[in-house]
Amino acid sequence: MAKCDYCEIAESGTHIYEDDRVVVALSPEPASLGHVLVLPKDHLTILEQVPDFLAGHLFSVANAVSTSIFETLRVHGTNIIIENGLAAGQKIAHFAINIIPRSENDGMGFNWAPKRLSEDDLSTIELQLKEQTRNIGGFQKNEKKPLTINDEDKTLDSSEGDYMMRQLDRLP
Amino acid sequence: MVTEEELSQMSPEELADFQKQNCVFCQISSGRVPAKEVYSDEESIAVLDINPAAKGHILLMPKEHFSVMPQLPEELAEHLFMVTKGLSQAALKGLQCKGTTIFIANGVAAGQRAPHFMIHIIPRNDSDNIRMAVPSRPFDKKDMDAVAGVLKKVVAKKLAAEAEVVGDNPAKEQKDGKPKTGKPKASDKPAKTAANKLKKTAKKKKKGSSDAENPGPFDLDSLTGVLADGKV
Repeated sequence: MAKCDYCEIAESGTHIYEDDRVVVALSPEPASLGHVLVLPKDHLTILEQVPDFLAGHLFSVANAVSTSIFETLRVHGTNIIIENGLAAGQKIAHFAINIIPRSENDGMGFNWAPKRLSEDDLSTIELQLKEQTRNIGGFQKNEKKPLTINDEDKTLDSSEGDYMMRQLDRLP
Repeated sequence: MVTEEELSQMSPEELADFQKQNCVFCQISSGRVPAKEVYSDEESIAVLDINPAAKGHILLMPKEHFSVMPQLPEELAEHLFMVTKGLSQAALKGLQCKGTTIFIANGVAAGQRAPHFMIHIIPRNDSDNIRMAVPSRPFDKKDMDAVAGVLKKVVAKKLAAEAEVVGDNPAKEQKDGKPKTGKPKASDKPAKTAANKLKKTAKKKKKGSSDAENPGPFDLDSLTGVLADGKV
Protein backbone atom coordinates (compact mmCIF):
# COMPACT_ATOMS: atom_id res chain seq x y z
CA MET A 1 0.00 0.00 0.00
CA ALA A 2 1.26 3.43 -0.84
CA LYS A 3 2.48 5.38 2.16
CA CYS A 4 0.98 8.72 2.99
CA ASP A 5 3.34 11.67 2.47
CA TYR A 6 3.48 12.53 6.14
CA CYS A 7 4.03 8.92 7.22
CA GLU A 8 7.00 8.98 4.88
CA ILE A 9 8.31 12.17 6.47
CA ALA A 10 7.77 10.67 9.92
CA GLU A 11 9.72 7.58 8.97
CA SER A 12 12.56 8.90 6.90
CA GLY A 13 12.72 12.68 6.61
CA THR A 14 15.17 15.03 8.27
CA HIS A 15 13.75 15.57 11.72
CA ILE A 16 14.01 18.66 13.85
CA TYR A 17 12.71 16.69 16.79
CA GLU A 18 11.60 13.14 17.36
CA ASP A 19 10.36 11.09 20.28
CA ASP A 20 8.47 7.81 20.42
CA ARG A 21 5.17 9.42 19.41
CA VAL A 22 5.88 12.66 17.62
CA VAL A 23 8.01 13.96 14.77
CA VAL A 24 8.80 17.57 13.90
CA ALA A 25 10.04 18.32 10.39
CA LEU A 26 10.17 21.19 7.93
CA SER A 27 7.09 21.39 5.75
CA PRO A 28 7.77 20.14 2.21
CA GLU A 29 5.56 23.01 1.03
CA PRO A 30 6.58 25.89 3.25
CA ALA A 31 4.62 29.12 3.55
CA SER A 32 7.70 30.81 4.98
CA LEU A 33 11.22 29.88 5.87
CA GLY A 34 11.07 27.71 8.97
CA HIS A 35 7.51 26.48 8.41
CA VAL A 36 7.37 23.36 10.50
CA LEU A 37 5.01 20.41 10.84
CA VAL A 38 4.35 18.63 14.11
CA LEU A 39 3.10 15.14 13.27
CA PRO A 40 2.00 12.12 15.24
CA LYS A 41 3.98 9.08 14.11
CA ASP A 42 0.81 7.04 13.93
CA HIS A 43 -1.27 7.60 10.86
CA LEU A 44 -4.17 9.53 12.37
CA THR A 45 -6.24 11.62 10.00
CA ILE A 46 -8.11 14.19 12.06
CA LEU A 47 -7.88 15.64 15.53
CA GLU A 48 -10.90 13.67 16.67
CA GLN A 49 -8.87 10.47 16.18
CA VAL A 50 -5.89 11.67 18.16
CA PRO A 51 -5.99 10.36 21.74
CA ASP A 52 -6.20 13.14 24.36
CA PHE A 53 -2.77 12.60 25.85
CA LEU A 54 -1.22 12.64 22.39
CA ALA A 55 -3.13 15.79 21.41
CA GLY A 56 -1.77 17.46 24.55
CA HIS A 57 1.73 16.24 23.85
CA LEU A 58 1.61 17.38 20.21
CA PHE A 59 0.57 20.81 21.34
CA SER A 60 3.22 21.17 23.99
CA VAL A 61 5.86 20.12 21.45
CA ALA A 62 4.36 22.67 19.04
CA ASN A 63 4.65 25.31 21.74
CA ALA A 64 8.31 24.49 22.37
CA VAL A 65 9.03 24.59 18.65
CA SER A 66 7.16 27.84 18.18
CA THR A 67 9.16 29.39 21.02
CA SER A 68 12.38 28.08 19.49
CA ILE A 69 11.41 29.70 16.21
CA PHE A 70 11.01 33.04 17.99
CA GLU A 71 14.39 32.62 19.59
CA THR A 72 16.35 31.62 16.54
CA LEU A 73 14.74 32.97 13.40
CA ARG A 74 14.11 36.54 14.49
CA VAL A 75 10.54 36.45 13.31
CA HIS A 76 7.83 38.73 14.62
CA GLY A 77 5.22 36.10 15.27
CA THR A 78 3.97 32.62 14.49
CA ASN A 79 0.72 31.17 13.31
CA ILE A 80 -0.37 27.75 14.42
CA ILE A 81 -2.80 26.28 11.94
CA ILE A 82 -4.51 22.93 11.78
CA GLU A 83 -6.54 22.06 8.73
CA ASN A 84 -8.91 19.54 10.20
CA GLY A 85 -10.87 17.86 7.44
CA LEU A 86 -11.16 18.30 3.67
CA ALA A 87 -13.51 21.26 4.04
CA ALA A 88 -10.82 23.00 6.11
CA GLY A 89 -8.34 22.59 3.29
CA GLN A 90 -6.59 19.48 4.58
CA LYS A 91 -4.66 17.98 1.70
CA ILE A 92 -2.89 15.06 3.29
CA ALA A 93 -4.84 12.57 5.34
CA HIS A 94 -2.47 12.74 8.29
CA PHE A 95 -3.05 15.09 11.22
CA ALA A 96 -0.51 17.92 11.32
CA ILE A 97 0.08 21.10 13.28
CA ASN A 98 1.54 23.80 11.02
CA ILE A 99 3.81 26.33 12.68
CA ILE A 100 4.36 29.25 10.35
CA PRO A 101 6.93 31.95 11.19
CA ARG A 102 5.57 35.39 10.42
CA SER A 103 7.16 38.76 9.75
CA GLU A 104 5.67 42.19 9.32
CA ASN A 105 4.41 42.72 5.78
CA ASP A 106 5.15 39.19 4.65
CA GLY A 107 2.01 39.35 2.55
CA MET A 108 0.44 36.38 4.25
CA GLY A 109 -2.89 37.17 5.74
CA PHE A 110 -5.10 34.76 7.56
CA ASN A 111 -7.92 37.21 7.78
CA TRP A 112 -11.57 36.70 7.53
CA ALA A 113 -14.41 39.02 6.77
CA PRO A 114 -16.50 38.93 9.94
CA LYS A 115 -19.94 37.47 9.45
CA ARG A 116 -22.88 39.38 10.80
CA LEU A 117 -25.04 37.09 12.85
CA SER A 118 -28.25 38.01 14.59
CA GLU A 119 -28.61 37.65 18.33
CA ASP A 120 -31.04 34.80 17.67
CA ASP A 121 -28.54 33.00 15.48
CA LEU A 122 -25.84 33.35 18.10
CA SER A 123 -28.12 32.02 20.82
CA THR A 124 -29.09 29.02 18.70
CA ILE A 125 -25.45 28.25 18.01
CA GLU A 126 -24.62 28.67 21.67
CA LEU A 127 -27.25 26.10 22.62
CA GLN A 128 -26.25 23.68 19.87
CA LEU A 129 -22.65 23.78 21.02
CA LYS A 130 -23.40 23.64 24.72
CA GLU A 131 -25.37 20.47 24.15
CA GLN A 132 -22.16 18.88 22.88
CA THR A 133 -19.56 20.48 25.11
CA ARG A 134 -21.16 18.86 28.15
CA ASN A 135 -19.24 15.76 27.15
CA ILE A 136 -15.86 17.49 27.29
CA GLY A 137 -13.75 16.45 30.21
CA GLY A 138 -12.51 13.26 31.80
CA PHE A 139 -9.51 13.46 29.53
CA GLN A 140 -7.40 10.42 29.00
CA LYS A 141 -4.24 12.05 30.26
CA ASN A 142 -1.98 9.05 30.07
CA GLU A 143 -1.48 6.33 27.61
CA LYS A 144 -3.20 3.16 28.72
CA LYS A 145 -0.50 0.86 29.98
CA PRO A 146 -0.75 -2.78 28.98
CA LEU A 147 -2.17 -4.81 31.85
CA THR A 148 0.36 -6.53 33.99
CA ILE A 149 -0.68 -9.91 35.21
CA ASN A 150 0.99 -11.13 38.34
CA ASP A 151 -1.52 -13.32 40.09
CA GLU A 152 -0.89 -16.60 38.32
CA ASP A 153 2.79 -17.04 38.32
CA LYS A 154 5.42 -15.14 40.22
CA THR A 155 7.79 -15.07 37.31
CA LEU A 156 5.24 -13.30 35.15
CA ASP A 157 5.91 -9.82 36.46
CA SER A 158 9.09 -9.58 34.45
CA SER A 159 9.05 -7.66 31.22
CA GLU A 160 6.12 -7.70 28.89
CA GLY A 161 8.20 -9.23 26.09
CA ASP A 162 9.23 -12.20 28.20
CA TYR A 163 5.66 -12.74 29.19
CA MET A 164 4.55 -12.81 25.59
CA MET A 165 7.29 -15.28 24.75
CA ARG A 166 6.31 -17.55 27.60
CA GLN A 167 2.71 -17.47 26.48
CA LEU A 168 3.86 -18.62 23.07
CA ASP A 169 5.87 -21.43 24.63
CA ARG A 170 2.78 -22.69 26.33
CA LEU A 171 1.00 -23.28 23.06
CA PRO A 172 0.75 -26.96 22.28
CA MET B 1 -5.38 56.84 32.85
CA VAL B 2 -1.87 55.52 33.11
CA THR B 3 0.91 57.45 31.45
CA GLU B 4 3.57 55.82 29.36
CA GLU B 5 6.17 56.73 31.97
CA GLU B 6 4.26 55.03 34.75
CA LEU B 7 3.87 52.00 32.55
CA SER B 8 7.59 51.76 31.94
CA GLN B 9 8.33 51.92 35.64
CA MET B 10 6.06 49.06 36.58
CA SER B 11 7.50 45.81 37.84
CA PRO B 12 6.64 42.72 35.80
CA GLU B 13 4.04 41.80 38.43
CA GLU B 14 2.43 45.21 38.31
CA LEU B 15 2.49 45.17 34.55
CA ALA B 16 0.82 41.77 34.48
CA ASP B 17 -1.87 43.08 36.82
CA PHE B 18 -2.33 46.16 34.70
CA GLN B 19 -2.68 44.10 31.55
CA LYS B 20 -5.18 41.86 33.25
CA GLN B 21 -7.33 44.75 34.41
CA ASN B 22 -7.45 46.19 30.93
CA CYS B 23 -7.96 42.95 29.06
CA VAL B 24 -11.47 42.41 27.69
CA PHE B 25 -10.94 38.69 27.62
CA CYS B 26 -9.98 38.59 31.28
CA GLN B 27 -13.22 40.45 31.94
CA ILE B 28 -15.10 37.91 29.87
CA SER B 29 -13.55 34.98 31.68
CA SER B 30 -14.37 36.50 35.06
CA GLY B 31 -17.93 37.19 33.95
CA ARG B 32 -17.68 40.99 34.12
CA VAL B 33 -18.32 41.29 30.41
CA PRO B 34 -21.12 39.15 29.02
CA ALA B 35 -20.39 36.66 26.26
CA LYS B 36 -21.93 33.60 24.71
CA GLU B 37 -20.13 31.00 26.72
CA VAL B 38 -20.11 27.51 25.23
CA TYR B 39 -17.73 25.80 27.62
CA SER B 40 -15.79 26.48 30.76
CA ASP B 41 -13.74 24.63 33.35
CA GLU B 42 -11.36 25.67 36.12
CA GLU B 43 -8.61 26.80 33.80
CA SER B 44 -10.27 27.70 30.53
CA ILE B 45 -13.31 29.26 28.95
CA ALA B 46 -14.71 29.10 25.43
CA VAL B 47 -16.98 31.76 23.97
CA LEU B 48 -18.45 32.58 20.57
CA ASP B 49 -16.43 35.12 18.61
CA ILE B 50 -18.45 38.30 18.07
CA ASN B 51 -16.69 38.81 14.73
CA PRO B 52 -16.92 35.24 13.49
CA ALA B 53 -15.36 33.86 10.33
CA ALA B 54 -18.18 31.33 10.31
CA LYS B 55 -21.22 30.31 12.29
CA GLY B 56 -19.99 28.80 15.51
CA HIS B 57 -16.51 30.37 15.50
CA ILE B 58 -15.22 29.59 19.01
CA LEU B 59 -12.50 31.30 21.02
CA LEU B 60 -10.90 29.11 23.65
CA MET B 61 -8.69 30.86 26.18
CA PRO B 62 -7.04 30.30 29.50
CA LYS B 63 -8.79 32.14 32.32
CA GLU B 64 -5.42 33.36 33.53
CA HIS B 65 -3.91 36.17 31.51
CA PHE B 66 -1.18 35.13 29.09
CA SER B 67 -0.38 37.29 26.08
CA VAL B 68 1.28 34.74 23.85
CA MET B 69 1.80 31.02 23.61
CA PRO B 70 5.43 30.90 24.83
CA GLN B 71 4.19 32.06 28.24
CA LEU B 72 1.83 29.13 28.74
CA PRO B 73 2.86 26.57 31.33
CA GLU B 74 3.21 23.18 29.70
CA GLU B 75 0.38 21.55 31.59
CA LEU B 76 -2.04 24.33 30.70
CA ALA B 77 -1.03 24.14 27.04
CA GLU B 78 -1.77 20.42 27.06
CA HIS B 79 -5.09 20.97 28.78
CA LEU B 80 -6.13 23.68 26.34
CA PHE B 81 -5.43 21.45 23.42
CA MET B 82 -7.42 18.55 24.82
CA VAL B 83 -10.32 20.98 25.22
CA THR B 84 -9.71 22.18 21.65
CA LYS B 85 -10.20 18.63 20.49
CA GLY B 86 -13.47 18.45 22.41
CA LEU B 87 -14.68 21.75 21.01
CA SER B 88 -13.81 20.77 17.46
CA GLN B 89 -15.77 17.60 17.99
CA ALA B 90 -18.68 19.59 19.44
CA ALA B 91 -18.71 21.82 16.34
CA LEU B 92 -18.65 18.84 13.99
CA LYS B 93 -21.52 17.17 15.81
CA GLY B 94 -23.57 20.10 17.02
CA LEU B 95 -23.32 22.31 13.95
CA GLN B 96 -22.83 19.54 11.42
CA CYS B 97 -19.93 21.29 9.80
CA LYS B 98 -17.54 19.29 7.65
CA GLY B 99 -14.27 20.29 9.18
CA THR B 100 -12.62 22.76 11.53
CA THR B 101 -9.73 25.15 11.19
CA ILE B 102 -7.75 25.51 14.40
CA PHE B 103 -5.89 28.79 14.36
CA ILE B 104 -3.58 30.63 16.71
CA ALA B 105 -1.91 33.98 16.12
CA ASN B 106 1.16 34.76 18.20
CA GLY B 107 2.23 38.36 17.84
CA VAL B 108 0.80 41.31 15.95
CA ALA B 109 2.64 40.30 12.77
CA ALA B 110 0.74 37.02 12.86
CA GLY B 111 -2.58 38.83 13.08
CA GLN B 112 -3.07 38.71 16.83
CA ARG B 113 -5.48 41.45 17.82
CA ALA B 114 -6.12 40.93 21.50
CA PRO B 115 -3.43 40.74 24.19
CA HIS B 116 -4.83 37.49 25.57
CA PHE B 117 -3.74 34.12 24.22
CA MET B 118 -6.56 32.26 22.49
CA ILE B 119 -7.24 29.37 20.18
CA HIS B 120 -9.72 29.89 17.35
CA ILE B 121 -11.87 26.93 16.39
CA ILE B 122 -13.57 27.76 13.10
CA PRO B 123 -16.26 25.45 11.71
CA ARG B 124 -15.69 24.80 8.03
CA ASN B 125 -17.84 23.70 5.13
CA ASP B 126 -17.14 23.04 1.48
CA SER B 127 -16.76 26.23 -0.54
CA ASP B 128 -17.39 28.49 2.45
CA ASN B 129 -14.94 31.02 1.02
CA ILE B 130 -12.97 31.44 4.20
CA ARG B 131 -9.41 32.15 3.17
CA MET B 132 -7.38 30.19 5.65
CA ALA B 133 -5.47 28.03 3.20
CA VAL B 134 -1.79 27.67 4.04
CA PRO B 135 0.13 29.04 1.04
CA SER B 136 3.40 27.61 -0.16
CA ARG B 137 6.49 29.23 -1.62
CA PRO B 138 9.69 27.79 -2.98
CA PHE B 139 12.80 28.17 -0.83
CA ASP B 140 16.43 27.40 -1.37
CA LYS B 141 17.28 23.95 -0.06
CA LYS B 142 20.44 25.30 1.52
CA ASP B 143 18.46 27.82 3.55
CA MET B 144 15.96 25.18 4.60
CA ASP B 145 18.74 22.85 5.74
CA ALA B 146 20.38 25.64 7.69
CA VAL B 147 17.12 26.52 9.42
CA ALA B 148 16.42 22.87 10.22
CA GLY B 149 19.91 22.51 11.68
CA VAL B 150 19.60 25.51 13.98
CA LEU B 151 16.07 24.65 15.07
CA LYS B 152 17.04 21.09 15.84
CA LYS B 153 19.59 22.21 18.40
CA VAL B 154 17.36 24.76 20.08
CA VAL B 155 14.32 22.50 20.23
CA ALA B 156 16.33 19.66 21.72
CA LYS B 157 17.67 21.96 24.42
CA LYS B 158 14.28 23.39 25.20
CA LEU B 159 12.46 20.09 25.44
CA ALA B 160 15.23 18.61 27.57
CA ALA B 161 14.95 21.60 29.92
CA GLU B 162 11.18 21.20 30.05
CA ALA B 163 11.49 17.55 30.98
CA GLU B 164 13.74 18.59 33.88
CA VAL B 165 11.24 21.17 35.08
CA VAL B 166 8.46 18.61 35.03
CA GLY B 167 10.67 16.08 36.77
CA ASP B 168 11.60 18.00 39.88
CA ASN B 169 9.67 21.11 40.58
CA PRO B 170 8.23 21.15 44.08
CA ALA B 171 6.68 24.56 43.50
CA LYS B 172 4.64 23.20 40.66
CA GLU B 173 3.40 20.23 42.66
CA GLN B 174 2.39 22.52 45.44
CA LYS B 175 0.42 24.64 43.05
CA ASP B 176 -1.41 21.64 41.73
CA GLY B 177 -2.07 20.19 45.13
CA LYS B 178 -3.70 23.26 46.58
CA PRO B 179 -7.25 23.96 45.64
CA LYS B 180 -7.74 27.50 44.50
CA THR B 181 -9.49 29.24 47.35
CA GLY B 182 -9.01 32.68 48.93
CA LYS B 183 -9.28 35.45 46.42
CA PRO B 184 -6.11 37.40 47.19
CA LYS B 185 -4.03 34.28 46.69
CA ALA B 186 -5.67 33.36 43.45
CA SER B 187 -4.96 36.77 42.02
CA ASP B 188 -1.50 36.79 43.47
CA LYS B 189 -0.35 33.50 42.07
CA PRO B 190 -1.03 33.93 38.39
CA ALA B 191 0.98 37.13 38.37
CA LYS B 192 3.82 35.34 40.06
CA THR B 193 3.78 32.34 37.77
CA ALA B 194 3.62 34.61 34.77
CA ALA B 195 6.54 36.60 36.13
CA ASN B 196 8.49 33.42 36.83
CA LYS B 197 7.82 32.20 33.38
CA LEU B 198 9.08 35.49 32.03
CA LYS B 199 12.20 35.25 34.15
CA LYS B 200 12.72 31.72 32.98
CA THR B 201 12.44 32.87 29.40
CA ALA B 202 14.86 35.66 30.15
CA LYS B 203 17.34 33.15 31.52
CA LYS B 204 16.93 31.01 28.46
CA LYS B 205 17.41 34.10 26.39
CA LYS B 206 20.84 34.66 27.92
CA LYS B 207 21.77 31.07 27.35
CA GLY B 208 20.59 31.33 23.77
CA SER B 209 22.54 34.44 22.95
CA SER B 210 25.78 32.90 24.15
CA ASP B 211 25.28 30.24 21.53
CA ALA B 212 27.44 31.20 18.57
CA GLU B 213 25.01 29.70 16.08
CA ASN B 214 22.10 31.58 17.45
CA PRO B 215 21.36 34.58 15.25
CA GLY B 216 19.58 36.58 17.92
CA PRO B 217 17.78 36.45 21.22
CA PHE B 218 14.06 36.09 21.45
CA ASP B 219 12.49 39.35 22.39
CA LEU B 220 9.43 38.30 24.32
CA ASP B 221 9.28 41.66 26.01
CA SER B 222 8.86 43.51 22.77
CA LEU B 223 6.32 40.99 21.57
CA THR B 224 4.15 41.35 24.65
CA GLY B 225 4.96 45.04 24.93
CA VAL B 226 3.46 45.78 21.56
CA LEU B 227 0.39 43.86 22.57
CA ALA B 228 0.06 45.69 25.85
CA ASP B 229 0.10 49.05 24.12
CA GLY B 230 -2.21 48.06 21.32
CA LYS B 231 -5.85 48.74 21.78
CA VAL B 232 -8.19 45.83 22.08
